[in-house]
Amino acid sequence: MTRPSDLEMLNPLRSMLRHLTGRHASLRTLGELLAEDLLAECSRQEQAMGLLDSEAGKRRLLTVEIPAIERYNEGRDPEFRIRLVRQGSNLVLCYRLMPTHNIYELETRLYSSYPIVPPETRVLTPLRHCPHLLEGQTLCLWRQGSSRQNSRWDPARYTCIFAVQAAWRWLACYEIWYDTGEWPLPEAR
Amino acid sequence: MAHIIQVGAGSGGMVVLDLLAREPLVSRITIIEPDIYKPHNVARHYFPKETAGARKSELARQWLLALRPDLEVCCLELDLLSPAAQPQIEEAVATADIGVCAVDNEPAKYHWDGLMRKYKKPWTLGEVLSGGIGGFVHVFRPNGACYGCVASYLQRSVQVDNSPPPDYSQPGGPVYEVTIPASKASITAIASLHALVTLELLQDANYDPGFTSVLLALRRVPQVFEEVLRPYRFRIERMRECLFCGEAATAGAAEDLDVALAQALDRLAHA
Repeated sequence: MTRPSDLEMLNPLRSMLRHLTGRHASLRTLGELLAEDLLAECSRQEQAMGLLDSEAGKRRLLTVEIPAIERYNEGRDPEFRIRLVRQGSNLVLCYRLMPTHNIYELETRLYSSYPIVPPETRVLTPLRHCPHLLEGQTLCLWRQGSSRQNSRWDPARYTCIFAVQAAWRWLACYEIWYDTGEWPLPEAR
Repeated sequence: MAHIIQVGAGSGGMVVLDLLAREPLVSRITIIEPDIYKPHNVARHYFPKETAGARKSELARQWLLALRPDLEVCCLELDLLSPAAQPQIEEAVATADIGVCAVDNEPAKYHWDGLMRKYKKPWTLGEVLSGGIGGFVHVFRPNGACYGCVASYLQRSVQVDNSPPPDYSQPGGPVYEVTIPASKASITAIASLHALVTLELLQDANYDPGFTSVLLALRRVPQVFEEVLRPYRFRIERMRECLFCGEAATAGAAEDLDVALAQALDRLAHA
């Protein structure tokens, strides 16, 4: 599944393919079909119905996700409430968590293909490199084949608040790892 | 006289179309398929390499008409997920008796499920597992379990992926290849079961095969399938708390979705 961030990364390649297929007739026979495939996929992904522009997406937001965020925010200290910001075709939850001693700034991104594609959470506060941390301080929270149920994203059962809770658990583990050098949860298969 | 609407005319979808079109009961088929037939498709398709460059839907139409000149075949060369294509797709879905899903990407399956539920149509889905080690056939009925319920249940109950976890010591390093092409034989086996179940459901709206989903193991894979050609049947009920078809998800949202959404987003932007 190509994500929006991947599509942005494909832009230089897309320009190059347009340039090559447009200028060199001999390359058309060789690379044309592959280039067309890629361009069509880019175009499809850009135009595909998403969370903010499909009826199903809007209903999901209005009946499931937004009420869940409002319940989370209710009665919570304003400093720790979730703000929901629109960024193009994505939505970003901006919030702070304090699992034990420290406060962390986080953002959880709901791509336009959410909830089919799981939310992606990254910590903005600098962290030490540790297990279960991916590029750009993105938390490794989901793997579909995982033997641990909470590590498999399930769009029929989880809302974006589940991602916030998963980030809280991850940070609690991080703080223990920071002090002891041991990740407190056993590795899932 | 039945009208079938099918999304996907790839290597599996074409087998399903071929088998469905041979039944006299079927009088009309609508195919939703935007793709072009490519040279790399030849190994798993019916069409020769000389036809590369043609639209898959048109090749499918010609194939079906060669079998059944009396068949009415309508091609919608549209992307199922394109917002602009929705009115045309919905119009076709509304007049169909049954839906067939033969696509392999999750957003399309969920979207198809939403369309089928909106128009209260029964539908079937075939899925070949990576490497062709087996595959699923699912049967969906109006008011029954939706694709979200089924995917959620199977994700909790069935282990069909034994790929290793990521290597955290090398962020950005090589990623394990999770999708391995299936053989034409595996694809045809699952697609044939898919067609069979579709025809049974078409002939009898109360058809009960004893399962919502059936998983057929085609190859022995340690820790995944210990026996070859063994079926696993799952009867899956609709989840009350499902976030796609359950009470919370279908409770009356405001009529003007755009206005309600803009207000809610504005509220939460300043929380």
